[in-house]
Parts: sequence; C-alpha cells; structure tokens
Amino acid sequence: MKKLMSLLGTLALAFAFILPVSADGHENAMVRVLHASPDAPAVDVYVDGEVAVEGAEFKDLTDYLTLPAGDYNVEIKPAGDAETVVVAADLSIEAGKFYTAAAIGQLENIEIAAMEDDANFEDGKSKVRVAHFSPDAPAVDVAPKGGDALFSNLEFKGVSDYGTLDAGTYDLEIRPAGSMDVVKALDGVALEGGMNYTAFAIGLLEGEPAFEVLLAADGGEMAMAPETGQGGLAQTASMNWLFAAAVVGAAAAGFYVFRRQKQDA
Amino acid sequence: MERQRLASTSFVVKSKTLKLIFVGTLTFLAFGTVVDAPDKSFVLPTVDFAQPEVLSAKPVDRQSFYSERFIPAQLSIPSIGVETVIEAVGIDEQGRMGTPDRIDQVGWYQFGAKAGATGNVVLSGHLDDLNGPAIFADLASIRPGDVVTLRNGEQSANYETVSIKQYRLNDMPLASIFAATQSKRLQLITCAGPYDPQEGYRDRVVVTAQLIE
Repeated sequence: MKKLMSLLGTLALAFAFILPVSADGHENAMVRVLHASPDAPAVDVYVDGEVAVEGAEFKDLTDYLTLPAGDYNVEIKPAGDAETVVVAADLSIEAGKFYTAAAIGQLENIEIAAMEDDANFEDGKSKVRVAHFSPDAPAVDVAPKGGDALFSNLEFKGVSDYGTLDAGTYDLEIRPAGSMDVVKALDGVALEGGMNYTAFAIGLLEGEPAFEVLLAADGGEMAMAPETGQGGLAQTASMNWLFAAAVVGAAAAGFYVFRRQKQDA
Repeated sequence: MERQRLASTSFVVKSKTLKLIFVGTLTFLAFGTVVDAPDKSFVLPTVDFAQPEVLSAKPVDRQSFYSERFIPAQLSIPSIGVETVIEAVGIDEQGRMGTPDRIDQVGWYQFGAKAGATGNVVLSGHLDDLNGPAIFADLASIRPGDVVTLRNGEQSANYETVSIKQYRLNDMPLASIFAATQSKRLQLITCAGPYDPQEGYRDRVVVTAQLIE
C-alpha cells in the first residue's frame, strides 16, 4: 500500500511537470499607442470596435497590449465620443513581435504611424532609434555633443533604424540636418545595457505644446504565466466541503434532537 | 472583482473555528465558480499609460540613476505577513516565467526590471505545494494601498498596491506584466481558481503595485 501511494505520488509529480501549455504567449503580438498629435484632444483608441485605451492625452504612451497575431482596425476617437472617428488605420501584426502605433501630425492632417519595436537585446549594449514626430521641425541630425551624427537627415514622420551604443550616459544634441546649430540639447541621456529605446521627438518648434524628446524603453522579454501551485490548498478547499456537509449534518441532527426533546417535554 | 476576491479568500481560510470554515465554504459554494471570463477570442484589457521620460538639457543625477535600482533580495508585505528571501528566476523550457525552488521564497524575473527602475519588476510565488500553503497563499487578500517593500542590504524600494486581479490563464495581459512600460511597477503573481490535477490551477492572481517616489 505504501508502495502504491509513493507510485501515485511520483505520477502526480510527473503530471505536475508535463502539463500541457495551452496559454501560448508566443501566438500573441504586443502593441502600444503613442499620442503625438500636438493639437489633438484626449482620445480613446478602439481596436476592432472595442475600446482599448481611454483618455490618452498628448505625450501619453500606453503599455503594450497583448493581442493575438492578425489584422486589426485601429480607430482613434475623441475621448468619450464613440461616434466620431478622428483617424483610423488597418494594422497587421505578427506573433511574437512588438509594435508602436502613433497618432502623429496636426489634427487637420492627423495620421497613424506604425512601427515595429526591436525586442532583441544585447548584453551591455543599448539599441536606440529616433522617431521624428514634430510636424513643424526641419529634417534633423542627432549627434553626440559637437560630434558626428549618429542619425542623419531624419524628416517629419521618419523613424530611424536602431543604432547600437555601449550602455552609458550620453550628452546628445539635435541639429538641423547638415548644420552644427543646436535645436535641442539632451544631456545625461542614460542608456542601460540590455535595453532598447525609442526617442520620440514630439511637439512644435514654434508654438505649444513645445518641442521635446521622450525616451521610451522598447519591447520586453515575454514569458507565460508561472506555474505557482500544486493543489495542496485546493484539496484543503475540497476538505472544507466535507467539513461543511458534516457541520450542516450535525446542525440538522442537533436541531432534530432539540425538537424531539421539546416535543417530549 | 469583489466576487473573485471572495472566491480566492475561501481557499485561504485558516481559522480553526468551525464557523469560519463554514462561512468560507459557503463563500466558496456561492462564488467559487463565477470567475468565468466572457467567451471571446481575445480579451482587450484597458491599459495603463504614462508619459515617457522627457530628455532635457538639465542633466540627470547619474549617480542616483544607477544607484536607485537594484536586484531585489528581500520581500516584505506586512499586511499579509510575508517576509521572505528572493531568488532570481528565468524562463522554463515551456516558456513560462520561472518559480522559486523553495515554496517559502519568491522568484524575481531576471529579464524584467530591477527594483526601483522604470518597467515591470515581476515576482512569482507559490500558492501551495502538494501538502499545503506556500508563501503567496494569502496574496489575494492584499488590499489596495498596502505597502510592498523590496530590499537589498541598505537599498529599499516601497511600492503601493493599486490593483488585485484574477485572470484565466489564457486571458493574462502578459504584455502589461512582462513588457516594457513607462511606469515603475511591481507585479506579484500566484495561482488561483479551481485546481485540476491534469491542468493545474486555472487562474492566476496578479497584484500590481506602483513605486512610491
């Protein structure tokens, strides 16, 4: 009997470790949304007619949404106004990949720019790219202070490829393409090893909201949910059932006896 | 949400009084099976968002940038009596976040964020083993506002609980938990829901906390 129990125990353990994995995170794609239209109001974002993001304002960047790979229709509507579509786009997303969809341009020319985010990381290195989403800024270079351009001649709506830098802290500047004038100085930009980043240049050079650069970490090392239980408490819970039945039974019996005694008296 | 919390609570009733067990069981009977998610091909969670770091001509304090983030070594959640050691974990052969070797400890996802950093700091802990409760048996009874502290030597980071959610395994918002975010968050994960000897626990509880700066 003891032998049987230990065999059953072994089997139970074996089952615990070869559970089929039904929640396959690898079939999903990851999508986030950036509001980079300087004069657009707060917006709601709909994916295939369902609201996914509510009340995003200029400069807001959402977390990544988990979506099954496939084709989607993305609509941007004024916050709380389900009837009006500000702009819409079809988005095709592949399993295991990360994407950023950005609402860019002034409201009268608003459009959705979609880009794939790099989620392959290198130890000790940072991969960085620049997205030019400032409608009234000229084509620009991005360079270390006084140095040669890392990214050159990037125009509005342009998104650079990723460049690989050693992890560390950089003093950078944004210059009109081909010039050494400084449009914007970016001091102490801290880039961590094993991380990828997009620097989004947004806002207006002349007017409000003002031109600025946002630095966002891209991608991520996805995993599926951890297997954090083996059922010990669930058995306790089912014991509770029996216990409850026993309590109810005892109470009923007690009541019956009580009634009998009363009747006898 | 309240229903789900009740369901979870019924699993962790530990009182020795019959009354509590009885109430806990009734709670389980009444609410234990109502966490079914709507039958859809996907669940679209409404996501959080935050403004990314703004780069400026004002240098950041480089020393503090790196010193304020650390690999967490100790976890304490006073409100649910958790005080334990943190192991580093990775991804198992089936692509799942790893779990700690010891059931009285928790696992820190080493491919996520460090404590105090921008991003998701992810910890997994067991609800139970074959015999009984483990370190996160009471995780679902944490309340919004409860403080969670990560430490390593002199360094510490305090987080404030903002949400307690229970998901079907297939409906987990995995990207919100594991991918890059502009927020400074802590995610605590354990098992929940009905247990099936073949499939394991059906659900996961995810407690999300925000760094107190």
